[in-house]
Amino acid sequence: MTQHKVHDLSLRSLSKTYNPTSSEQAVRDVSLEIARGEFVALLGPSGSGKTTTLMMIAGFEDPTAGDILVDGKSIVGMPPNRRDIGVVFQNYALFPKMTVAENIGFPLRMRHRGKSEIAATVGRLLELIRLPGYGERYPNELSGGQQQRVALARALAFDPRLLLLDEPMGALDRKLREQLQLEVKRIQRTLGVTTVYVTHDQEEAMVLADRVAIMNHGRLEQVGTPAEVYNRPVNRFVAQFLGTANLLLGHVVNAASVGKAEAEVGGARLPFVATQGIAAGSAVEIFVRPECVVVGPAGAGPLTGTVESTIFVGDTTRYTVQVGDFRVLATSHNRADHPIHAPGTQVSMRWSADNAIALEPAPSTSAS
Amino acid sequence: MKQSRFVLALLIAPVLAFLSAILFYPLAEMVHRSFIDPAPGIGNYVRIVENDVYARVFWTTFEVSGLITLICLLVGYPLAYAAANRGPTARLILLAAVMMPFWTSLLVRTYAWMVLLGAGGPAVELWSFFIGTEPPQLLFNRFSAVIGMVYVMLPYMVLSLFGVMNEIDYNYQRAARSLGATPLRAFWHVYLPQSMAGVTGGVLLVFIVSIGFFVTPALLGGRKETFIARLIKINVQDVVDWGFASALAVVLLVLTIALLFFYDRLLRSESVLSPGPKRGRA
Repeated sequence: MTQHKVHDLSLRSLSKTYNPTSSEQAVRDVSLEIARGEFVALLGPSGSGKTTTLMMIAGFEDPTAGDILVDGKSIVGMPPNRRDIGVVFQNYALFPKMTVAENIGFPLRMRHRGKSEIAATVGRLLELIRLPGYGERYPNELSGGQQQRVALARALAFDPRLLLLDEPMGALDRKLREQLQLEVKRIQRTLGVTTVYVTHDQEEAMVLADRVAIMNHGRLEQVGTPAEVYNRPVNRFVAQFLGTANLLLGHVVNAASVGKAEAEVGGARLPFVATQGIAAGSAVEIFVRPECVVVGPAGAGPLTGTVESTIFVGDTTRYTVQVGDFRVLATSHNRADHPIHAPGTQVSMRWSADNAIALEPAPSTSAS
Repeated sequence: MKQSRFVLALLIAPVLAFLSAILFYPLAEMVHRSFIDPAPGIGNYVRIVENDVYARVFWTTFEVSGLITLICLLVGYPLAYAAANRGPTARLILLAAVMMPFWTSLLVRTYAWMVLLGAGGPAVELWSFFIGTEPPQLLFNRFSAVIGMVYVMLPYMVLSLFGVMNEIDYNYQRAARSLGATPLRAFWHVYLPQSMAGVTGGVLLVFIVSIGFFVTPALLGGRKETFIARLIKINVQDVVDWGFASALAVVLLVLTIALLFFYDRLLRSESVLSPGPKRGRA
C-alpha cells in the first residue's frame, strides 16, 4: 500500500483564543512549513498549545486567526470528515462495539467502498501493523500497544493526506514505547505519509522526527532537526527542555561577529561559538551540554573546581563540580583506563568552542 | 479461604435477613394465600381467566406503560444528550429542570396536572384564546394519564441515559468525524451503540416502575385507564378479598418477570441482568 500522492502542510500565523474577553491565547502566531513526506514532532510541556494546534489541523477547533494550507489550498472551515486527515488519539478512541476489522474498515465504509475492497485493505493493514488474525477481536481484548497499532492502521486505511498523532504513546510503559516508536517510524517510512506527531517527551520527538518544533506558552520557540535543536538551542527554555544543560553566567571578553569567541566565566576564559553578533563586555549565558564538558586532572583545563558528587552509571559517570559560587554538570564516558574522580578532588574542565554557544541571560540566572 | 467465606457470609447476613423479613416471606405468604383463600385450589386464578375485565386491565397496564416508556425515551434521549455534551451551564440547567419535579410530592404533581388540564385551567383557556372553539376533553382520559405519568417517569430515563452518556469520551465522535463520518453517521454508528446500555437500563427502569402506577392513572385517567394496581387495592381495601388480590399480584409478577426475560434475550449484547461475553467498554 504505497501512497499515491504525498502532500505538504503549511501553517501561517495560526492563533487560537478560547475566551474572546481575555488576551490569553492557546496558540500564538505559529507558522510552520512541513514538506511532503516529512515527519515533524510538535514538542512542548502541557498547556504549550501543541494539541490545540493539532486539533485545528484536524478540524476540531477553528483558528481565531491565520491559515492552514494543504498543497497550497486552505482547509480552514472545512468539516473534519472532508479533510482526509488520519488522526490517532491519545486514548486511541477505538470504537468499543466494533471489532478490530470493523474499526479499520470504518473510514472505507464511510466512503462507500465495496465489501471485498474493504476486506482486502483491512487484511493488508493488519499485516503492516503485524497483527494478522486479530480482525475479529474487540478492542478491549487487546493490549495497549496492540490498540495503539490498530488506531494507527485505522487512521491510515483511507490513504489520508496527512497523519496526525496526539501523544499516542502516553499510556504505555517505557519499554513498549521504544518498541512502538520504531514501529511507527517504519510504517511512516513505508507509506511516506506527511506526519505531525504531538508529544511532551523530548527523547521520543528526537527519535521519531525529521524535524522537531518546540512550543511553549502557545508560541513556536524553535524548529530544526533533532541535532540542531539539541546542540544549538535558541534560548534557555529549549536548552533545558531537550535535556540537561549547563547555563553559565559570564561576560564576553573576546568578541567576534559570528564565529569563535571567548567569555570569562568563574574567573576562567572559555571558548564558545557566537551564533550572532555579540559585543565585548556584554553579559551572556554560556550553554554547554554535560557530555561536552571534558573532565581532567587539575591544571589540564582552564576551569578548575572541586568534585561535589560522582555518580557511576555504567557507561557514563556523572559529575557535579563546584566552581566558585556555581556548579557545572559533566558526563564522561567510562573506560577502564580512565580514572574516576572522587568527590572532594580538584579537577579541571574544558570544552572545545564548537560545543558551547552564548544565550541571552535571563533576568535572574544561576547555573543549573 | 474458609475465613474469608465466613466474613462474606457475615457481611451478607443483615441484608439477607432484612430481605427475608420484608420481601421473601411476604411474597411466599402472598403466593400461598392466593391458593387457599377463600378455599383451597386454583379458584382465584380461574376467576381471573373467566372474566375478561382482568385481561383488559392487565393489557391496559402493559400497553400504557409501554407507551410511557417510549415517550420518555424519545423525549429523554435528546435531553440527556444535550446535558452530557453541551458544557457545564447547559448541563446544570437541564438536569435541574428534570430533577426539580422529583423533589415535589407525587400527589401534589398529579393534582397540579388536574388544575392545568381541568375545566377553567390554563390549557383550556389557551385553547379557547388561540383556536376559539370549545376545547376537547383534556382530563380523565388516556391523554392526561400518559402526560402525568411521563412527567413522573422522565427523570428516571434521563438519569439512566445521562449516566452512560457522560462516560462516553468525546474523542470517539471526533475520531469518527476524522475518519470521514458526517455528524449524523458518527452519531448513528458510534455514539448510539455506545449509549445503548443507558437506553436498555432506562427502558427497563421506566417500564417496571410504570407497571406499578396507582395514584396518577387513578386521578388523571378515566375508567379505561384503570391500572392493575388499582384493582388489587380495591380487592384489598374495599372488597377485602385478600386471596383474589394475591392472585392478581402473582399474575402481575409472573407476567413482568416473563417480559423482562424476553427483553433481556432480545438485547443479549446489552444484557442488564448478566454480563455478556462481548460487552465492550462503555
